[in-house]
Amino acid sequence: MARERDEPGREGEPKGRVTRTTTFFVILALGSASALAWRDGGAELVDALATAATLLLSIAPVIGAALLLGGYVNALLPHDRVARWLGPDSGLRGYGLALLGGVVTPAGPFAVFPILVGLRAAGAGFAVCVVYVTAWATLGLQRMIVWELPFLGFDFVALRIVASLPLPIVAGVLAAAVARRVNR
Amino acid sequence: MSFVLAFVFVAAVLGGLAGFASRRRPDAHGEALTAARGYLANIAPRLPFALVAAECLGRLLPPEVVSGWVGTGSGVTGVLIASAVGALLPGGPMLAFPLAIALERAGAGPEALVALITAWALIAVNRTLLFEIPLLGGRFTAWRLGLCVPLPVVAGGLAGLLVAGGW
Repeated sequence: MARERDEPGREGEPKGRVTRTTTFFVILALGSASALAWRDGGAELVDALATAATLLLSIAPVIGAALLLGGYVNALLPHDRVARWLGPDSGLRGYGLALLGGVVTPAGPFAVFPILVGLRAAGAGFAVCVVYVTAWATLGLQRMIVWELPFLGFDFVALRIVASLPLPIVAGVLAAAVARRVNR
Repeated sequence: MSFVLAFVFVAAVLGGLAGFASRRRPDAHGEALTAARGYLANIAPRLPFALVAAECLGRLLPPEVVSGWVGTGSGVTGVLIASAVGALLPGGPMLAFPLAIALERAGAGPEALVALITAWALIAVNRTLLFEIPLLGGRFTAWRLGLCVPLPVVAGGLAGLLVAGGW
């Protein structure tokens, strides 16, 4: 494993990938904007751009604060201790901690995957890892507050939380059933 | 309004963490700033384009198709379609959430949106390709993704039941 990969989030993504992902969004934006202007006319495009600009201005302060928050969590989190809490001898308490840990792990792949690598290295089982990553993906607090709440509103977020509560448990039970084949 | 609420919440937690760092680990301030600058360098160039793309794509979708396929009351079929769309959705939250509001405006039902967001969050194609496979290996990733297949349908179905029950 490359050394920089063990430093979660310090470097962010490798440079080449940043450019490629950004290029993808630029092409997608140009393509969809051209298609919209061609089908519905320039006025519709201007209206769409104005809506996008309003969204950008509304969300920018939230994202700025959230990025700094992610930086603090990353700097303050005791990575080695986390691995011990969720290690092979943690039992049922390990599952509970994995669930809570997933909920509070910052959004974005920079934190969660390096943590998972550490967990695997510390001997955490497949099921604990699956509970952790499922809780992070479906119940992650930061993504909910930074993205979902502003865009979709409180009622929707509440509905999705309640509907998603069983998911880490379902995933954990399924994972425990196949864990031996994954761990080899 | 929700933007203000979200900002207040994030800022409050941020203040708490910064205060904790000041008392316990002052060197964490520098580390946090460096990490945040790295995240910003990744996100800032993409965000405007992602928002424009999501807004334009949402307007390009014919509302009658959206409400017909995944509209309120589209039931199990709507949840299944939305799960498949979410699983294949590329890009991070900056594309997924603006697209979700565009779909909502075009008539998509809440249970379909729950399925879409759940599927996207669990599978996120390019996150899987860029991070999970390189860091955790193909075997772990394949098994995890296999286990995730039923989950968006479970969440969408539950949301549908809650909505039908008068949520």
